[in-house]
Amino acid sequence: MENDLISKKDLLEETGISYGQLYRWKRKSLIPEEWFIRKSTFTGQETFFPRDKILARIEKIKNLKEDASLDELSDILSPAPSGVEVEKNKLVQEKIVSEVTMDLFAQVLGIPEVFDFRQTLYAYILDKLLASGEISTDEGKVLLKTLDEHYSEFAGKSSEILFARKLGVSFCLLVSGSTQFSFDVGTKLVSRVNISSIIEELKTKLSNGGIG
Amino acid sequence: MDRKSRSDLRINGIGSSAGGHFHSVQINGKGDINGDLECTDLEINGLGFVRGNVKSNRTRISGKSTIAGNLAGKEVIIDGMSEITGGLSGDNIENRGMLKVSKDCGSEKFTSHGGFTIGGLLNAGSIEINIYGPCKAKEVGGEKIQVRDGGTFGIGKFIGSLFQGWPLKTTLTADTIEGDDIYLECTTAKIVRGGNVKIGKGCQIDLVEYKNTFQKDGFSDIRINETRKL
Repeated sequence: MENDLISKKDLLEETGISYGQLYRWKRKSLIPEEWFIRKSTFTGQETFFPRDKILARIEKIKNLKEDASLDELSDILSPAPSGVEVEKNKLVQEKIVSEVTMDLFAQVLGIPEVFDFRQTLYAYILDKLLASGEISTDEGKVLLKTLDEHYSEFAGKSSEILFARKLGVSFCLLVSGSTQFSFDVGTKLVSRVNISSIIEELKTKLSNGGIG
Repeated sequence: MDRKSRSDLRINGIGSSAGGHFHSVQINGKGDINGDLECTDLEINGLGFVRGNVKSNRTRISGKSTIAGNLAGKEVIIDGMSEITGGLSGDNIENRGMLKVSKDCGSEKFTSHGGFTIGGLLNAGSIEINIYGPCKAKEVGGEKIQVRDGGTFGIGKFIGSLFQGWPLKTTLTADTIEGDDIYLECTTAKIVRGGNVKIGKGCQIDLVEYKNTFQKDGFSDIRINETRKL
């Protein structure tokens, strides 16, 4: 649990939004339910938010809402997969996924002509991790297999993908959001990616590229 | 599924169904639906029991219904009694009976001419509550919140003339009420927070916090422990 919380009152003052706006955004699920943390204070129950996350989110909503309707925004921000389908070439052209990643994807899962959202997401995560240099191509294959086999169990929920290495052996973990865990001494956490924020990023990229 | 290829479900008398996708669903009598239900129109006249989630564009309940799950739709009208063990969401919710929702209730517009119990948050752009029965919500939040005393009608007044202490005083009870424009009557709340707050007759409020304006009607039965300007 985050220690750095902001109360609802302070949040409204800091961002200049009104109660009505906050509730409207909550209703449209622009702000995830799990960010509303209820705590008991001397005035009774008060609602708190994780400070950094909520401030960044509100800034984002404020910027985006000029161009998009709230319903469109909620599609972009929700962790649920959207119904987009993208052609393979388009993904490469729009530089969402690199050629190298595409080849690797083809080796493991085969190459569909049209990518649905989930496949796009896998390719995007793979591309991101490969580009960061944190994992090797062999580990990339493991990652794809893990996602392909198990991600459906996590779909729509917030989840994280972790990569850890011990004595040169690497392994991949898919965990649901805000789970606490620790490794033994010899294990090193190589990479940790929040899938919900990746989805958000990907959806923004897709809509900027005129897809979806 | 194409809307045209969906069939209708109609239960007249006593019947049951396993649920599924339908165009229009009507229960006249007693009907059990054992599973998730997705339809364009749902009408329950009589007794209805749905063991699953309901998704319906237009929902109208004129009898008594229990939904063991969530109810999501655009227009929801409740003329009778309805119990929803999950959450309720819609664009326009109109309650003219007794509504019970165990979790959150969210809508663009929420109008009530009856009583309700909401276990979670009542969240709507415009909330209009006319109190004709006990109204309860854990939290109320929205842009415009208006709560008015519906008054006692016909039979209640008659019984009231026979017994003392009847009708029971009906109020809206909530822990917190937060909104941009708030007008309250007959409301018991711990905290009321908002931009413009106006308090009318019969209110018992521990703390009022307001940003722009605060007004209090001149009734003797108003009790406000503390008022703060933010």
